[in-house]
Amino acid sequence: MDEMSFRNRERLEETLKNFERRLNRDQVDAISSIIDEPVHDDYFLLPIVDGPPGTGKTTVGAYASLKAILEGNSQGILYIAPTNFAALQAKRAFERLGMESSDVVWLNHRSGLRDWNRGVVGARYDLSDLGPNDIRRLRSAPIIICTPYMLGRVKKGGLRPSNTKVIIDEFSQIDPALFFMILSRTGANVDRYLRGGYALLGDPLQLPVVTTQGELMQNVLEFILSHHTIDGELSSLTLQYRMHVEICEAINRMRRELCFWGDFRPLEPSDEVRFRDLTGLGYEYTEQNIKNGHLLTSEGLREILDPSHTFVVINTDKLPRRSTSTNEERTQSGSWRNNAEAEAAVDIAIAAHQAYHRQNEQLVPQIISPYNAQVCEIKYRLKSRLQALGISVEGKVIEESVMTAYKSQGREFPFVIVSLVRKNPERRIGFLEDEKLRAQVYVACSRAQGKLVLLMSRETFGGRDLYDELVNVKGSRHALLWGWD
Amino acid sequence: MSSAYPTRALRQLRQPLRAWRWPRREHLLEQVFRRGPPPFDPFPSIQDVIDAVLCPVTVVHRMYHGLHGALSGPREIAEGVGRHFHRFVSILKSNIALGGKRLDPFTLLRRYCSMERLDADSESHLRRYLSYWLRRKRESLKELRGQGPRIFHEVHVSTINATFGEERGVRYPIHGVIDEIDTISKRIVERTLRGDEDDPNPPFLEDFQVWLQWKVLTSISKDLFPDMLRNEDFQDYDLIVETPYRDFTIEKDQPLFEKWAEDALAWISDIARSSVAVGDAWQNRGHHTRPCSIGNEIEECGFAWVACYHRRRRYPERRSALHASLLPIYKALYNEQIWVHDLLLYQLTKMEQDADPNLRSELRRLLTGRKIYPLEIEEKIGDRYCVKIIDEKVRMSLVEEVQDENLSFDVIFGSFSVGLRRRAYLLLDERETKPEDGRYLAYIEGMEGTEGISAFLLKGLLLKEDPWFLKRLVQQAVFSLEKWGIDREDRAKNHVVVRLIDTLFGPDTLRAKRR
Repeated sequence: MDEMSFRNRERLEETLKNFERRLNRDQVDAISSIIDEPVHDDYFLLPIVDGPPGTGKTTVGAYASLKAILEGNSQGILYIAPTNFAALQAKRAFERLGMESSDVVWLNHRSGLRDWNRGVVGARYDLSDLGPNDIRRLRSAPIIICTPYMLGRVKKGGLRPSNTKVIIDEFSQIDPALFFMILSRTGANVDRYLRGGYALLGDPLQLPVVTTQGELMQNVLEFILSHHTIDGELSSLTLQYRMHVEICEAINRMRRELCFWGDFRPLEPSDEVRFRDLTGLGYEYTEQNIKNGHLLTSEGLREILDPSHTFVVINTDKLPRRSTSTNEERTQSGSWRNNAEAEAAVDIAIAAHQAYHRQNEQLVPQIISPYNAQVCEIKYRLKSRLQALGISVEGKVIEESVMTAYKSQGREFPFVIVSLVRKNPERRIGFLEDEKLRAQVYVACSRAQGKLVLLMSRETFGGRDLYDELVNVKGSRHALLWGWD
Repeated sequence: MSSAYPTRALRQLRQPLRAWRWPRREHLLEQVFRRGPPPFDPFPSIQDVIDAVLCPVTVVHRMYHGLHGALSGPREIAEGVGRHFHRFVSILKSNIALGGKRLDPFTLLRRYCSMERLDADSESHLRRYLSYWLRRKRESLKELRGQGPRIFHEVHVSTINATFGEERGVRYPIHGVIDEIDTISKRIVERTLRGDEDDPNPPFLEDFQVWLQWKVLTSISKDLFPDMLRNEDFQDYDLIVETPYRDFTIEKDQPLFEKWAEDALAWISDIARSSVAVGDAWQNRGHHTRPCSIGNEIEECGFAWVACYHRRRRYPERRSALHASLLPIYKALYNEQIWVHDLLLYQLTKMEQDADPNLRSELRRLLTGRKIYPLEIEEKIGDRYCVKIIDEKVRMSLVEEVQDENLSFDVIFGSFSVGLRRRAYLLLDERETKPEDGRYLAYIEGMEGTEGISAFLLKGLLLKEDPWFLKRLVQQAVFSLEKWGIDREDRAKNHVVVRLIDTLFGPDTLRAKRR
C-alpha cells in the first residue's frame, strides 16, 4: 500500500487546533467514540452519532476522520454517503476544515471523469478505465468518499488499507441490506482485515429509502435495536447551530412525534443562533419594496415577511381564489401539484427577494416541496414572473432555489418556503401520512436558518398529530398563523 | 448448505402450472398501493428459463441472491469476451452489408478493441475466436456485401402469449434478446463461445435457448413487428447455434423442450410464491439428465462452487442467526425488483399485446409521460445523438423526472414487443440539451452496426426505469457476506466484521458510545 499523507499537514493541524476550541462537549464525546478502537475486551464499539439537523454531524465525521489519521489511529478513511449529493456535501465539509481538494477524493460512477486537482474521479465497475497510476493515487488518497454502490470498485482495486475507518453518513437512508452490503464490501476479507471499524452518523428521524417493502424501510439503527440492546446511550448532538429558536421549537415538536425510541432529547439552539432571524443573518429589510403579488396583496406579504415572524404557517384554504383552482391536481407523471399554492410561494419568494438584501446581494429564498410536479410548476412560474418583472436572475440560481425535500437533505438556507401541495375535500395526504415518509416535512422545515414559511391546507392536514403539533405555536412571540381564524 | 437435503437420482418433472399469476387490472393501472409481496408472478427472461432448466436451485439463487446466468463457459466468457465477440461480429456484418469500406476484419477488430479499451488478453482471445470463425465465414461474408440492412442484431422480444405442451392452454410471459435475425439467409442465430472444436453436438442448452427464442418470437402478433420484419414467416426460419468452429441446425419440433420449459416456468412461479418450494428445489437439484451433488457437479454450471457448495468457516459463530435475519431481507429485495421492474415489463407488453383494447389504451395513457416518452432522432453529433421528445405534453414530465439522480434510460426502436433496445445516457449539462424544448443530447450504447436501419432508428420510445438492478447488487453482496468467514480463532477475535456479527446476533455487549 502506498504511503498516505496530507499535502498540507502542518496547516491542517493548526486549523484543527483552532477548530477544536469551538467544539461542544457532545461533539468531543462523539469524536472520541469514532476514533476509538472498535474491539474491546468487554464490549464492541459501533459508534452511532445521532445528529439532528444543524448539529454539525458531517463536520464531526470529517473532523474525527482527520484526527484519526493525524494521530495515527487510522491509515485511511472510507466515507460512505447514501447519495452522490450527500457525498459532495461531505467532501465540502472536509475542505472547509482545510483539506486540499486533491486529498479527499469523491469516487463516482462517471467513467472518464478524472480531475485529480478537484479530487473527483469516475471509474467503471471493473476499474478498466483507470491506469496503474490512477489506482496508485487512489490508494494513497487519505480520504475516499463514495456511495455504497461504489464499494465494489473500492474492494476490487484494494483502494483502502486494512487500518481504515469506515464512516457511514446519513444512516437514516441506510437500510439493513445496504449495511450488510457495506460490511461485505469493506471488511469481509480474510487476509487484509479491517481494523479501524465502522461509525454511523445521521439523524434516524430523517427520510428513509423509498421502497415497497417494510423490511427495507427500517434504517440500520432500527434494525440493530430490533436485534440487540445498546449498552448506554447513543452519542447525541443536541446543540444546533442553524435554526432560530422558533423554528427549532417547531422541529422539536415534530421530532417528539416522529421519535421511534424512548430516548427523545430536544434540540437546543446555540447562543449565536437562538435569536438569529434574517436581520441577524445580515439582511436589511425594506418593507416599501413589497408590491402586490398575483395572489397575495402587499399587506398580506408584509405581514408574512416581517422579520420578527420567523415561523409563518399559511393556511392555503384562505388563499384568494383567482383564475386558478386552489385544489391539488395530479400530473401526467403521477406526481401532485397545486397551482394556487405554487403562485403563493412565488409571490412570497419574489417579495422576499425585493425586500431583503445584504450588502449588494438580494435574498434568494429557497422553496421546497415533497412533490416533483410542484417543484417544476414553481420553477416555471418563477422564471416567467421574474422575466416579466425584468429581474435578472441566473437560470442556475432559479434551478437551485426550488427543490424536493429529498434533494434538500444536508443543506441549509437563510429563508425557506415549504409547499405541502395536498388540498382536497377527502383530506387525503398520501405519503405525507406514512409513518416514515412524513419525515419529508421535518426535513424540509429543518433546512431553515432565519425564517420558515409553511404553506398547508388546514382542512386537509388538520387532525393529524404531526401537523397539529407543527402548528401548535400558542404563546410564541415569533410565530404567525396566517389565515388561521 | 445443500447437504441438509437428500439428492434425488434424477430431477422430477414438476407438475405444470394450471395458470400463471398475472397482475390484475388495478396493479397494471397502478390503482393500488405497491406494498409487500407482489400478488403476481415475475416476468421471466429467456435467461431465467434456461437457468431453471439447468437446475431449479438457480432460481433460488436468482431470486434470493441476485445471481443469474448460471451457464458458464471458458473463463474469458465470464470476463465479457463473449459479449464483445458478438458485438464485433454484428459490426463486421453490418459494415459489409451496408457497403462500408473494405477493411480487413482484423484491422476492424483492432479498432474495436482500442475503442472499447480492451486489454491485451481480451484482444488476443477475440483474435483467436475470430480466426476460427472467419475460416468458415469468409465466403458467406462476401455474399453479404451490399445486401443492405437485412440482418438484425440484439433484437429485444417480449410476449405474454408463449405456450408450451399440448393443449394445456396456459399462457406465459417471457422476454429476452435474440442475438441475430438474418432475413437474408432466413436464420435465427444464437452465437456462443462455448464448446470445443471437435464437439459433435451444440453446447449444453444452447439448442434449447435458440428454440425458446424462436417460440417467443413466433408467439408475437405480426402487427407488432417493425415493417422490415412484418412479412417474414419465422415458422420457416432455420434455428442455428453458432460457435466459432461450427454451425448447428436445431430442430423445431422438440417435445422434450416443451416439457422442460413448462417445468422451468413452474419452478419460477412456485419459488416466487413460497419459500416451501426452495426445499423442493434443493432436493431436485441438477438437470433432467444429469443430477448434481458435491463431487459430481454439472461442469457447465457456474454456481456450483460459487453459490451451492462452499466451505463453512468457523467464524462468525452466529452465522445461523445472521442467515435467519437475512432471509426476509433477500426476499424483500427481490419483491422490490418485481414491483419496480417486472410490473413495468407486464405493463409495456400488455400495452401492445393485451386482448382488451381499452386496457391497451389506458396503459398507454398511464405510461406515456411517466415511463415512456415518444421520441425521434434529429441528428447524430459525433458518437452522440440529438433526440427530441415528440409529444409536447410529456416534455415537462420528463423534466420533473430527470431531477432524480438515480435514473436509467433505454431507447426502444420499433415496438417494445419486437425492437432494438439500447441503453441511453441523457447528457443534461451539454449545450445542445434544452429540456424545455424536449431536446436532449444522448449517448446511446451499442449503436455501432445499426446505422442504416433507418426504419427502426428514426422514431422510438425513451423508456425510464428506476435502477432496480442495484437491489440485485445488494443481494449479491449480502450473500457473499453470509458465505464468508474465517477459521483461525486468533484472527476472528480481532476481526471487526466477525466481532460485529457475533455481537449483533449474540449476547456480547454492544456500545454506541465509548465508555
